[in-house]
Amino acid sequence: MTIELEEQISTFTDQFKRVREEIGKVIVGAEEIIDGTLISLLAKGHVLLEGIPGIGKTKIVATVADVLHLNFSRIQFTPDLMPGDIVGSNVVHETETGEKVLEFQKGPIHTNILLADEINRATPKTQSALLEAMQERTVTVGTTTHKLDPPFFVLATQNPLEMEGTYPLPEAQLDRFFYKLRIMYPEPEHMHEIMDRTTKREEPVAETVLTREEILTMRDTARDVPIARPVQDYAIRLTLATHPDTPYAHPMINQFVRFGASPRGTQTLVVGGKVNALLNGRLHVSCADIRSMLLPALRHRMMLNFEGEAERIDRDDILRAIMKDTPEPAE
Amino acid sequence: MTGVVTTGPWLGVLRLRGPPAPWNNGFDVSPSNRSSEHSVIRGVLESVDRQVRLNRILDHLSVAVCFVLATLVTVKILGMLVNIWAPSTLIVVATSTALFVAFLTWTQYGARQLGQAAVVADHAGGLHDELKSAYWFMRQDHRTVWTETQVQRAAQTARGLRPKRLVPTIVPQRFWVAMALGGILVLLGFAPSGPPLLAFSKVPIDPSSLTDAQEEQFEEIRNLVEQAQALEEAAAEEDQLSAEARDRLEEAMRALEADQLTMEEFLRELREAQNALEEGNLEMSALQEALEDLAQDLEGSSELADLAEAMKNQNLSAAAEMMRQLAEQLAQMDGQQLAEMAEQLQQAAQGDQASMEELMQALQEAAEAMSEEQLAAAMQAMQDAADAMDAMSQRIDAQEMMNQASQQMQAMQQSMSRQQLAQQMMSQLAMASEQAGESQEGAMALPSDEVQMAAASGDMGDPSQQGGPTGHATSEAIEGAEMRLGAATTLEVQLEMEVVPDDEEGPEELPDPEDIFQEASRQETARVEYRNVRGPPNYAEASALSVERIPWRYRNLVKRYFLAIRPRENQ
Repeated sequence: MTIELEEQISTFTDQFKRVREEIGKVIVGAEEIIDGTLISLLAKGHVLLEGIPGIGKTKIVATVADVLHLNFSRIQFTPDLMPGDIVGSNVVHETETGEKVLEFQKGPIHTNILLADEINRATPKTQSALLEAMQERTVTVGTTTHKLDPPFFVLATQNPLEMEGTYPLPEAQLDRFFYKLRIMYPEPEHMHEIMDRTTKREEPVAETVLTREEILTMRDTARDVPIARPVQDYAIRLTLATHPDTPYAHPMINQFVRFGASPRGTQTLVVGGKVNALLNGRLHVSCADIRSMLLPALRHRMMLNFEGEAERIDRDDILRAIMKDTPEPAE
Repeated sequence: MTGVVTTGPWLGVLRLRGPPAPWNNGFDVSPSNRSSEHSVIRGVLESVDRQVRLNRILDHLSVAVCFVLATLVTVKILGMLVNIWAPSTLIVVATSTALFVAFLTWTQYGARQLGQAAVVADHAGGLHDELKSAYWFMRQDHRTVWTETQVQRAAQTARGLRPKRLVPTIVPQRFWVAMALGGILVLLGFAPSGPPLLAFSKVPIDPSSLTDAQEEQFEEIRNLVEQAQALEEAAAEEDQLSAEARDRLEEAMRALEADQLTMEEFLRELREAQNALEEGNLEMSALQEALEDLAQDLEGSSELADLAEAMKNQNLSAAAEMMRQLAEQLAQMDGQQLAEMAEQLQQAAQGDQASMEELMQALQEAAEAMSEEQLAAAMQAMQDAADAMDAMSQRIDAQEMMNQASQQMQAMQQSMSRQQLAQQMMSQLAMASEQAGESQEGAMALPSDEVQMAAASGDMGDPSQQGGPTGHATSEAIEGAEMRLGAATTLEVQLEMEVVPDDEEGPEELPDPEDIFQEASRQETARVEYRNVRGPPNYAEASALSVERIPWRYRNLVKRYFLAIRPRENQ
């Protein structure tokens, strides 16, 4: 049994490594983004990518979809996009006998990997069409609920909120994203590499290396990793430290934050920590694993108050302060 | 997979490290192996725990040693500077040791904290919470293949750990400070012993080394000390009386502050306290009469004439000084003078003066000693008589001070009585003004001719009201006005008076419009002199008038509050 487990873990890390290497053929210098995206996929979560236009958000998502042997759909969110355009709708269909019946026409959401490009260009009404699909993995049209095939993985991209013509995502929508990853402008040496790869006749192409079944197996493996109570307690304390006016609240939270992270945030810390532990060859989750998940997992789950917005406080700075001042429990 | 996969801070570049992990070979999870792995982990954690405790004890010990040595050095240095009591080194060391042992017992008592030891070991060995997680999994009933495998791997890791290398014994740097303090203490032990540098010491003086001026100064100091002692004894008796009055007065003040005492009761307490202070006056007058009798008895002797004059003038301190001078001059007198003086003193001592018994007794002894020509005894007796006179002088002075206090009390009583009377008058005035206002309203309700009748009958022209401005009637006038108020006019009478008699005689001629205007103007004429009417107060006046009265027991508190919050000069 133990040998099987060790082989299972070995396979997990090996497959992860192969996926990462394959993506690395196309994407340069975005290791953290790639790792975060893969961890979200293995932890049954969704990812929100934020960055200015033109730095490769869509390319990363498309490449991830290429290396995974999964169905892929892309929706370009625009202000006139309607919910029916995403989930699908009942259309009148004429049978061979001439009888007219209503038939459900599936929308692009019925896929495994969904790229919601520039999600904050659509209205909140349309953005909310993703709520049920992201949490319940089902889509309800009329009175009929359609189940989505696992794995269902949403990769959304958005421009920074200050840009014109954008609608900020509702808190309920944001909370459903496992990670919010910020794509930064590439370093100069990475820019050289990008130029070398993309300005020639042939561009590098990523091959498919992971099947749907393998992904589902990796997901189950990640969920099996045990976590000791003190480490779990540490994750809970970190989450509670984001809640203002509570005994665990950090002083910066009391000053700048209106609402803290939800229990989904704690779930993200724990599940993400499990995947990270496996990737580091460990059979237990450590406090370091929890810490490594803190910024992408909780930065979009805190709502700043007026003072925080006025002072232009970076949520990452608050989370770093919490990380620094929250002690690791021993028992 | 050939090794352990590690990453950066969070998922950096994958890399391989170290030799192939032993867990890749597979483990037997039989109960015997399991207990062996558990014991390995526990053993390592207990060793780490011991090391942690040892380091903690050393740390506490260094603090305690530094504290004790610093105390000893301080006491030693202080002992060299000033004259203070200091415990011996043995007592300090023994007490500190006992306290430290008790502190260690208290802090080290209890179950071993292996969880904390696991945290320390994980941090020290960079184990990423492996031992902490394994220790927690070991204590759980529910075990899975994952937890068992994790415990196996942790046991394998623990076998490779050296607890003493992981948590080495650390000698705190405070021990260097302690050694320095110990060196200072040893050096101070070699310092020469002697009197404290900054303290006065009692060094015996050789009387032969004193000059005449120094001897005189010493003599004056001795006399002053003796007088102070006598004054203290005399004042003790007088204090009993004044203390009684003082206590009574303070108690009354407190009761008045607490609103438990009315002003009348307080005045009564004040009078009783004043009586207590004046109780001694009777005794003093008896004393003064006795002094005059004594002075008359002593006037017969030429040597005692000045003394008698001083006693007659109630100047007892001067009389005492003269008595001392006479005592010193006794040796220079011849037998006749002594006999004459003894006779006068004997005659004076014969009087029955109970109020100055000590003085009479001293004079009697002096007279007897002079008649027997025992000069030393006579001098001593005269000294005693002089002391008795000093004591009497102090009693007279004290009584005079009590009389002054009594006079102040008397003045206070008079002032408070006047204040009370003024308050009573003010309240009566307020009541009278209310009643006067009612009567004026009644008068205004009457027809105009009735008002004129009332004025003609003397209400408005009362002499008491003419004596002052409007609103300043005396109490007699108010009482008079109150007496003249009758029953209100009934409605029927008023209705009868409002009947227009010529109503049925046809239409009335229209009055001249100018008359209508003049009549309206006359009706609108103010009935009160407008110059003395207080208009609507402005803000400053209103705030000044609506000042909240601060009870006098809180005034000091309020004052200190505002003093505390006042802006500082340097701000």
